[in-house]
Amino acid sequence: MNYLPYLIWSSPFVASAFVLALHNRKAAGGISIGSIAIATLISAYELAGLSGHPVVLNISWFSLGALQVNLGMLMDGLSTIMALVVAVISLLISIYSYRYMEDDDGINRYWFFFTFFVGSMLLLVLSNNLLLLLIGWEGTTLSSYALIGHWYTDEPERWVGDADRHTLGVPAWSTPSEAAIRAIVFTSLADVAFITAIGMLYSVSGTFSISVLASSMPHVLTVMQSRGILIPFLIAFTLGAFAKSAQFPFHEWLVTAMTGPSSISALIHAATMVNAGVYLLLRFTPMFISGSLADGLSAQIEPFFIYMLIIGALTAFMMASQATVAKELKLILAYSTASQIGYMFMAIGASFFILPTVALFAAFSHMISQAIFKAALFLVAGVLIHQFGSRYIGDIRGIWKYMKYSSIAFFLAALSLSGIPPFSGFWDKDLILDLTSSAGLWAAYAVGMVVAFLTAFYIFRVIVMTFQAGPRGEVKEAKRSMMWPYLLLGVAALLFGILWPYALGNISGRIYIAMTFDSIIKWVPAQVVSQIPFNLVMSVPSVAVSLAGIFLAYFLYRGGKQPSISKGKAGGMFGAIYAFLYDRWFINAVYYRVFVNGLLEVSTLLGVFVEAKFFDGIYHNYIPNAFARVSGRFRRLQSGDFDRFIGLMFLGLLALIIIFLIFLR
Amino acid sequence: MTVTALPLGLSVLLVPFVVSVLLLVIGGRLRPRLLAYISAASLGVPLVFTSAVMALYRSYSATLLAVGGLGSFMVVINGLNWPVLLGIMAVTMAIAIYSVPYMKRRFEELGKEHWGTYFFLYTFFSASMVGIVESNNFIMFYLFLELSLISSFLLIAFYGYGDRGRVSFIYLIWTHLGAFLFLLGGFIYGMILGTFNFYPVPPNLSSIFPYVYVIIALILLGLFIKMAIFGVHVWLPYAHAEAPTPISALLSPALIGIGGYAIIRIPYILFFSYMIKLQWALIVLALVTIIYSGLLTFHQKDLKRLLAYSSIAQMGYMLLGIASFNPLGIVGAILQFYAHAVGKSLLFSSSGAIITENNGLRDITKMGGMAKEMPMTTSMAMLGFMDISGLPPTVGFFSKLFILLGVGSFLVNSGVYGFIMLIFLVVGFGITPAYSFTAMKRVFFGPSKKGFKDAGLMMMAPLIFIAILGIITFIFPGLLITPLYLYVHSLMGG
Repeated sequence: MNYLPYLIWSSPFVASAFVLALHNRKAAGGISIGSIAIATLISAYELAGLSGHPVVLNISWFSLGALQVNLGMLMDGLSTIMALVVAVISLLISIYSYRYMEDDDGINRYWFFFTFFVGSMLLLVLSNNLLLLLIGWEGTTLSSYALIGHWYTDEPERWVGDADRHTLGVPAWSTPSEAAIRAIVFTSLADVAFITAIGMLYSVSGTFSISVLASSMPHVLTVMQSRGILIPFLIAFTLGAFAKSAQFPFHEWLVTAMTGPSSISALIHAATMVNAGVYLLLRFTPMFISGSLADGLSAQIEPFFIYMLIIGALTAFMMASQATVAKELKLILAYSTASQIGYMFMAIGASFFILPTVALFAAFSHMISQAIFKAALFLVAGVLIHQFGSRYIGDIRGIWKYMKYSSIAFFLAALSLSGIPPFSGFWDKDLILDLTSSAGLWAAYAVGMVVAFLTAFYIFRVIVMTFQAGPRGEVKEAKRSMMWPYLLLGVAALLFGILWPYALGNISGRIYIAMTFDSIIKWVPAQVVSQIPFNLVMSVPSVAVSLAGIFLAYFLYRGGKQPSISKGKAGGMFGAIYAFLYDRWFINAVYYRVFVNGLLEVSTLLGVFVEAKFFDGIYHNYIPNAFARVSGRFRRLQSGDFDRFIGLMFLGLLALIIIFLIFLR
Repeated sequence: MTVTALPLGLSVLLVPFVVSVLLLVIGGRLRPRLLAYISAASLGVPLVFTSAVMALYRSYSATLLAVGGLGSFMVVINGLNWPVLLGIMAVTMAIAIYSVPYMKRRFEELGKEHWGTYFFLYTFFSASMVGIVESNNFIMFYLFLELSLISSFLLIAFYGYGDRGRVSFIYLIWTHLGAFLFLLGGFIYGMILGTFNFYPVPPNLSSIFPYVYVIIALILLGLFIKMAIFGVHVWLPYAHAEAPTPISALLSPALIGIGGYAIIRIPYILFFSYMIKLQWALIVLALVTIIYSGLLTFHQKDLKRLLAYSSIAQMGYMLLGIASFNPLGIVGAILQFYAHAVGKSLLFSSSGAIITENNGLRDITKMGGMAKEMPMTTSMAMLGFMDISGLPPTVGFFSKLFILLGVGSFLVNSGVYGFIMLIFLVVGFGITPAYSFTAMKRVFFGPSKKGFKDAGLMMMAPLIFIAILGIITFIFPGLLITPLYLYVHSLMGG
């Protein structure tokens, strides 16, 4: 058996153990980068060696009675390509981090959780076992907590949000240690539903193995339907994915997750964490679709996909709209991530209605595009924030003049995000829009178009504002070892786009798709890929709205000017809209007022009234006092009167005799 | 009455008892550190024996004596109590060492040194917990329970904090009420059946069924008090917060968790078909316990009290696993004992490190920003909170996982109601990471403050040992889960 693939996820874990054990500032970065390089090389090697069939590897782990739970790995197109993407992008980010973090106090902690993060993500991508997948899943939760809160001493420059602003009386800023709690609580809440649903799945199917589940999914869905819980089950099962991928109503954690180092933002937004949810859906949606078709449950399962479309579209629009007024560079990028993932959820939702293989492929491809350009954007942002000493785009000026290479990388990535041909972001966004319109999902299509416009607008707003001339003396280009990773990513965004149409034709045998009716996990044959429609007429409008967004940004922000609404100084309706968008649709404020404060209120009420007054009062005051009163009465019996004692003694004896008689009867 | 030759298992169990008396006698003449090593070594004897038994045979039972009308007195080790035993033994061993620096400080505060008495009571207490878990018989169970209660009561009364006279009295009364109700249930059981054995299951068990609800009610109520389930939980925050911290680290996870183990060992196995009728009531009770005490943690200013409420919530998890009436859930509940033993002992010991090194500091509002100056304590507390929140790489991941899998297996059969329950489940399981990591922030994070001091190696090494044990059992869950599942499965056949 081939054990080599196990090194893909175990080498980062081993590295994290070494980082912890050695506790050596100098060695930590090298060990970590090396381990991720190993993971990258092996995943590339495994991808190259993949034949037409998924490979399942097993090492026995523990047994539950007759059931053997394995350290199972599932290597198919989806997981192997995904692993390679995760590994490559993590590798570039780790190389960037080497310099970026070299003076940091918590450098060992940084690398420990960095490698743990990458290892967890690779584990969750490659595992063929839901329990093992969960370890990776929760591992990313833990590492994101630790890394978002990396600067736990909460210096104001690490905060996100405006330090003096309140929304509905709720502070509009988050410190690193608080942002970390938000991340872990949001994702953990949803994971409870996810894990419980795995229990449901297990009790019906008797297995945790993903490749086995693929064939028993029709049965599972039928059972769920017969118990009237098909849709609730699907929602519970995917809830963890929604939270991980920062979809409404769980999106708030991602918004404040940039309190960590920028390299970590890049890691969370591009390589790990948010992609985990998309991956899980890509893994299971084909099973849901084919399972429902096999058992004639299409009508029953349809609401689930509509729900996914709605959440995806809502998140895409909501986050893009907020990005148009945000002032913090990383905040804009964070909104952008959730918004782009909304596109992916729309595609997955649409997969039920039209060409499932193609729609899922579109989501997958968009995830890769997003990973590439978002990593580049965040890494550049890290340099900009450091150089200009501010996280606000208003303070960043003249980057084209002083930082040519960084500007080029940022610009290339922004074009891909905006969906300008021939960048990769164009192809898959266009495909998603095309699919929604072909499927007659006009509402989704319309939202998608609006979001495309907003996306181009908000990212070019950043470009127009930061590229324009502005004298700043001390700004200089980043160190070379930090620069080339993101330059490479920027170029990759372009190259991936240029190769996109060819790649589908030529290396299609290596591209995942998972949808046929006889077998669930299968390679896409070339002819299926060639069916991917490219409709020139349909792509004209989507490019047009993107260009319109770019021009609007240029028109509004050129030459250093800022429209009054963007400064938050407009009155009337514009002012209200601005506040609504700037304060994140008031969702954060409502969460705090209703849930957080409500919880604390309830806690206080319970503590004061129920716990102290009621329970403590009854048990430790009322009852003891009552006993004291009773004992006071009894004390009167102890009068020292001998006759009385004798009498009582006889009474007692009598009682005992009666009790004995009853028992011996 | 037949007395067989003293079986190996029992003599092993008796070693720490004998040593504890020895410690009392020679206590004044030896250095505290040596006393701690002797205590730990004596507690290690049953650990080595139990581990060897599990590795070689997977189950062990030996009869000491059989008395007509009372049943037989046996020492039992099997897949079901193995994780419980491992948890108790490993933690008591480690905390014995930890006690030295902590109690040195505490004795300074009290103005007198009682090393011999302390280690006598400590070892005696630890060994009696092992005895409870290895017993097969109501009388033996009660006997060891009583020993553990008296010794822990004295530890609180002698070395506790605050109004320790009152607190230890509250502890004494409550735990004895629980023990008494339990004994009463066992008494009725034994009077009718003519044997007090709950293991092996008496052949004439069915003759008890007319009275079964009385017995179930008494035993459950008694054990609920022990576990501090909602409604009868009030004593726990007093006792566990005011006990000297090494004792909190044993009381909180180990002793109260034995209540949960006993529910599985006794009424659950004996009266399964009756207990299952109480399923919804138990589930609701478990969820109320989890959510109520989870909410109350936010209200606490005293770190140890916060941890005490968290223990109540963890007992709720254990009860929830039991209430799933599913092999996975039972596996989860027993693992929960072990995981909580690991996690909560880390947490109480970390709070103890803060207390010793910073002049008795317990008020959370005066903490914050300690991470920079107390990195070791921060790491250990973090691992503890990860454990109770069910995050890898701690064994708590598996306990929460299996409880939820068990509950999921139950909910899948209860239609839409199951999903209403799921909402409360999400709240209940979400609240633990919420208060855990909020507490991390309140205690350790935020703007750095000067003047805190991290604990030394003597204090931290035992914690590292416990933490590593938790990680090893995470990486090799089969060590615990495989024998446990086999045993549970053979009982339930499902």
